[in-house]
Amino acid sequence: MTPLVISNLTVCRRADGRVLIDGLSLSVAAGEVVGLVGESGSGKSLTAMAAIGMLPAGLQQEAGSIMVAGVPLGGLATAALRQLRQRTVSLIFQDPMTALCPTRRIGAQLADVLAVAGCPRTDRVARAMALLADMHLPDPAMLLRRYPHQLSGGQRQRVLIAMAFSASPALVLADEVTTALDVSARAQVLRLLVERARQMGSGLLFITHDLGAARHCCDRILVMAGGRLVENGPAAQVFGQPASPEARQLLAALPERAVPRQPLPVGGGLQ
Amino acid sequence: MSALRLAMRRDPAGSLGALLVLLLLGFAMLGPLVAQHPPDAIALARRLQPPSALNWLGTDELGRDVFARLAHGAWPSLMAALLVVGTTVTLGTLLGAFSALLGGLADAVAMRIIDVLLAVPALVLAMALAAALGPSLVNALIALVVVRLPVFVRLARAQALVLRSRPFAEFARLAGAGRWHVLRHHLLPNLAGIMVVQGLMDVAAVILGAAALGFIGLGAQPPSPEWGGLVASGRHFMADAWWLSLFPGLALMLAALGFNLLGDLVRDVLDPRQEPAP
Amino acid sequence: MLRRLAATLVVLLGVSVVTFVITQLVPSDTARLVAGDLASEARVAEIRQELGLDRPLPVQYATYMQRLARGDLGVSIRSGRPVAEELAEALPATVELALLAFVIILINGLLLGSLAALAAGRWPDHLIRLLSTMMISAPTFWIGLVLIALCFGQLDLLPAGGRLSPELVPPVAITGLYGLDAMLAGQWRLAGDVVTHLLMPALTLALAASGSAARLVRASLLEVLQEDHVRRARVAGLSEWVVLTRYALPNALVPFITTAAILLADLLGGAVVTEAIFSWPGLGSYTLEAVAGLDFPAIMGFTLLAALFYAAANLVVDVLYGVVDPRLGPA
Ligand SMILES: Nc1ncnc2c1ncn2[C@@H]1O[C@H](COP(=O)(O)OP(=O)(O)OP(=O)(O)O)[C@@H](O)[C@H]1O
Ligand SMILES: [Mg+2]
Repeated sequence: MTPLVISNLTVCRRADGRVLIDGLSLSVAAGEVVGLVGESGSGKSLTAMAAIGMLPAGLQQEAGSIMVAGVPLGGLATAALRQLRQRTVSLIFQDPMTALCPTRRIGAQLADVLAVAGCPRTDRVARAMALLADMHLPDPAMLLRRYPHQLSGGQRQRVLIAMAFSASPALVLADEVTTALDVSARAQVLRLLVERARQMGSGLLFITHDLGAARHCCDRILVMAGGRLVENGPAAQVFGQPASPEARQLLAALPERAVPRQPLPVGGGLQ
Repeated sequence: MSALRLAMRRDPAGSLGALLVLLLLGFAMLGPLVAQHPPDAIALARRLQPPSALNWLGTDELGRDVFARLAHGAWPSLMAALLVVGTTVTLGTLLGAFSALLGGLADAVAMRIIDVLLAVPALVLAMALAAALGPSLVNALIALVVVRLPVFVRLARAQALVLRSRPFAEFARLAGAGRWHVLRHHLLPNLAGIMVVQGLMDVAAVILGAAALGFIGLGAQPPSPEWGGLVASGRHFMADAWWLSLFPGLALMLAALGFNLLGDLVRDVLDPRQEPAP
Repeated sequence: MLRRLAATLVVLLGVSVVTFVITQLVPSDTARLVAGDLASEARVAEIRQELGLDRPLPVQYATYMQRLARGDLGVSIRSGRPVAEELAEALPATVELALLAFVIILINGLLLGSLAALAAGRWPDHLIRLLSTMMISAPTFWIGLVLIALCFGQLDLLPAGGRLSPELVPPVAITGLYGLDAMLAGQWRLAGDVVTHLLMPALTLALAASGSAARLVRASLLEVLQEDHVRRARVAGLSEWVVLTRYALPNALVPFITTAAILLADLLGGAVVTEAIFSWPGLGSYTLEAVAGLDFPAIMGFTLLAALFYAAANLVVDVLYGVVDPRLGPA
């Protein structure tokens, strides 16, 4: 069953009728890492939210369908949607500083997620420790008793990735998960995320502004502009010969493709 | 104006508040005119009569008409509260702004005094003050001003500190403007709005506080038809003449409700944080 | 912590000055009050000297503070007994009433506030807002009278006042709280009688604060429900109940701690009107009688005690924050 199939999705803003996502079609296959890039405001986050059945109030799906692991989201009852979120699809937030409850221990928050995924009470601590160890977090037993504020940003994001994969979901949506991290932590978190998705055979929709990272670790790249999909192809092809003008403009931002700068005149240009 | 209308549609409770306040003002102005009896006409033959066509809200233990007394008590009760709030807002704004501008020792001492005043339960402090000054309406109002003032001074000071660090005030200072200039032309005009709103939110509390003092016997003295006093004097007849205490208390509650809801409404209009959907 | 304690002491000192100044405002002559109307001028002068009332004000304040440091709050003008002793006698009744009211307020605030926040913008929210604003707007003294007229006068369900039916004997004092002591002694009938006496005054005392508590909880919860970690919990498929009780409420209640502690201090010190209406023999009734009799040592003693409650509440808040919010506690 394909983890994610979106066909012809159109989302409008109720207040002014503006079209925010315009006839979007895409799919993510099992074990596939798909990069979703595009300039700010192009609708990347909205796409992820739609895929997990959480369009913000005030927005409305006008047309199209979303299938998550073969289940159509349209008209899904609240309980069924909740079950889908428990087992089949998860979303990793951008900011690890705010995505964990500040007054609850890491262990308890992991246990909550494991509980709804059907893990029996007696196994939860062991499972939680195994999940943290898989994320290369040191001393998992200690970590379970920690509060979020006692962890670094990179550690927190790794905890959140562990949670997202705790039920071996078919689909994981990652919305700019490295943006809020220190540059030094980014590479590691990114590597762990992709590694985990491949291990589990989950489809990963990887939203990012980091074109270098996208090129480096994605099988396929999607480019969005103004709510539409303008480019869809293997990473090498999209970065090599972008077909659409929007993609070309976006990719021009990559360092190796950037227009060579004029060397600074001697004297710092003071004259 | 259209913002106000929109808020009314979105906020039925707030509109109810505005309506109640209007009704209260109408009652205070027209009530005495439509009352069938003078408020202090004693008619011992008709004492403790239940509500009827002759006495709409019944009569008290001296045969005085409850409706007439309620109507004549509306204006003093309302005016007393507005007077207290007006004084606390004005004094509070000035003292708070001064304190923020002066800074240093004067500011620190003022803040400690406020800590002290806030450390005693408001009603207790008001009681002690009113008792010391002697029971009368004016003294009760003075006590209420003293009790409510600290909150306003604190708010004004905090706001003034924020405003003072804003570019325009900073700029005026750099341009050589004196403290008084900054105070008069930059701080006070910008403080006024928020302080008045805060004052509006306080009217209900002051109405209730004045009534409580009146009830205890430290406010307006007996022949006066102040509402808290009316509830108190009807107290001993509660079992067989319920109308004596019921109506003044109800009037007090509706008045306070009106001002509370109106205060919410005004605050929402001036500070329209989008109420997030769940 | 030490700095906080010092600041608290300064505030208490300030309160003592304020109460002292208030007594100096009194136009009445304390010595004349003590001596009685019939005493001769010479006798009044003698008493004045005995009480040190003829000395300059700063000296009077110094003596007052000296005695205060020894826990001596002076002697009541009305009864001639030490104020500290009388306050201690009245305290348990007030504590019992305040605690029950406090519990009622917390339950009301949590229930109504959560309900309103979860239904934000829909009719239960509007209804609860109107209801809680009405609670805040109702004059306490009037609600007390209406309750008495209804539950005692009309329905004859609950007693009109006092702590205990006159024919019953109070339980052996352990805590001084009749209800608790009766239960500890296994006197269940007695405990039941205590509760029926407590119910109306506690409800009256709790009403207004219940309304503000509901509004506070609603506002605070609404904010937290928008936070990332709550959205994350929802998106992970946790049940609404778990999200509310383990993720949203614990965070929403953190700012509520200060309010709750101050509230308890207020309940202990501010039940004057309620106690007066229900003839509740606590600190409030004591103070009201003191005010009526211009018994300033008693009034000052009570004011100081109320300020002490308030200061204690503030210190407790500091400790509680560390417990509830792990970010502030010892790592
Ligand atoms: N809750 C909302 N209500 C109304 N409009 C919204 C809402 N969320 C997003 N939009 C609009 O939808 C458009 C797409 O937003 P989206 O968040 O998907 O962009 P994005 O591609 O994720 O951008 P970024 O890279 O900056 O995160 C924007 O124009 C934005 O203004
Ligand atoms: Mg985004």
